Amino acid sequence: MKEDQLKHILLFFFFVTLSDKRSKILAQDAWFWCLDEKKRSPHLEPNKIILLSIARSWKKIEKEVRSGVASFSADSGWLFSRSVQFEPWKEFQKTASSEELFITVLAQILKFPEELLTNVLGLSSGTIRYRLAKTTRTIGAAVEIRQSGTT
Amino acid sequence: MKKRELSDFMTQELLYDFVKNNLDSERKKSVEEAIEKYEDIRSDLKTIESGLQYLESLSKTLVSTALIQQVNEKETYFGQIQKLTSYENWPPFVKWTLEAVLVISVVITVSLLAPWAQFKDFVMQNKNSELILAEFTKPESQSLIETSNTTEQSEKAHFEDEGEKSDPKKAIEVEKNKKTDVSQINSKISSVSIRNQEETKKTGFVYRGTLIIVNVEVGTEKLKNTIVELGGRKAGEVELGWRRNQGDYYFHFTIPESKLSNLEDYFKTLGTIKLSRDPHPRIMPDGILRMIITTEEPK
Repeated sequence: MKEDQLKHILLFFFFVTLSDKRSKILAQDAWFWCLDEKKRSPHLEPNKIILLSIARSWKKIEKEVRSGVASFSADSGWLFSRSVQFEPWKEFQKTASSEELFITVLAQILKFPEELLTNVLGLSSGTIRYRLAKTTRTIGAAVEIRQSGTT
Repeated sequence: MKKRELSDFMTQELLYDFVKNNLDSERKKSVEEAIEKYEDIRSDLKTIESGLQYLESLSKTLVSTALIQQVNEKETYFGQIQKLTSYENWPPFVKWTLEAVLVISVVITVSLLAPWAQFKDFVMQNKNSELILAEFTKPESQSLIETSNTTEQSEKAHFEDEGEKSDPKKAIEVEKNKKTDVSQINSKISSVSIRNQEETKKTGFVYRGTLIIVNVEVGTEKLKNTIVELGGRKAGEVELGWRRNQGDYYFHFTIPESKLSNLEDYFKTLGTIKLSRDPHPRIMPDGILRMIITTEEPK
């Protein structure tokens, strides 16, 4: 397992919690689980191990992960474009169901392949596409509203 | 073979795959035709494209090397304990239980330590002030009617004694021996003296008399002032020198026994008086006499 692969875990927990502190704690826990799992199952691909770790952590935290106020800053180590507006994502993070939030971060932001997601998570491609289509429309509508409001 | 057209619903369902280029050529062409044909399909397509564009910008978020190294560092023992004991990592059930215990503890502490007694006294303080609902005074005509009937029974009803001792047993004895006592009582002498110390100790008495005054109004006022000066106080409900319907003036008062002779002398200066000492069941305190005097014009 490479440190470069740790960023996927960090980014996942960052986008689902929008909290510097909590994302670091959860990412560290998931990362060390990955390292242990790699020792236990060396034949497994790193991406698969990462997905398994994320799914394991998600089961524990999905019900209360969105509680609290979003608190993060670029100074904490997150490198995002200054032109990116986080308000549509904040709104989505609060209102979407846990399944939609989970799959959107993995597929649309972290760009995990659909085949890997169906294989590891046990979801059909139709279910994944349906959820992605729905969440994309929701986020798109929020972006358009914000753009029409600012123009 | 007739070409099947896609419905609006199906087109919308396939829009996401169309944007992702996941459709076969035939369906892709059908969707394209539907996009050109329907405005709402074009609007929906635009929304999906906006969403994908936004998510694409989010996917470009990176993580600094420092942060990666920070997370990758093995935690110290203290760090692990700190993480375990961190409130954020506690299970929700434990958090809720702790919060409930804290709230209950605060409520119990406040209820035990708060000065409720002082608070209650403070609240009740303002409520304990005396409240006067109404002041009632008898109208004059009613008072006159009541005092005009100066029989023994009415006197008994109005008399408010100051330190009087009532003796019901002796009252019954007096009623029985009334006939024998009457002959002793009806003496027409001007001076009055206490006849028998033993007899007075057994029963009470009251002095009655009628004072004939030439100018009764002026004399009555003088008599009233003199009685007050000698230490006399009204014994009934009516004031000293109350004018009755008959036209005479009524004095019902108590006076120190030591002042009796002074009062008798003053009676003589005003006019003539017929004074009698009648038994009465009510016993006055030692040294105090009760008198019922009326003043009137000479007939």
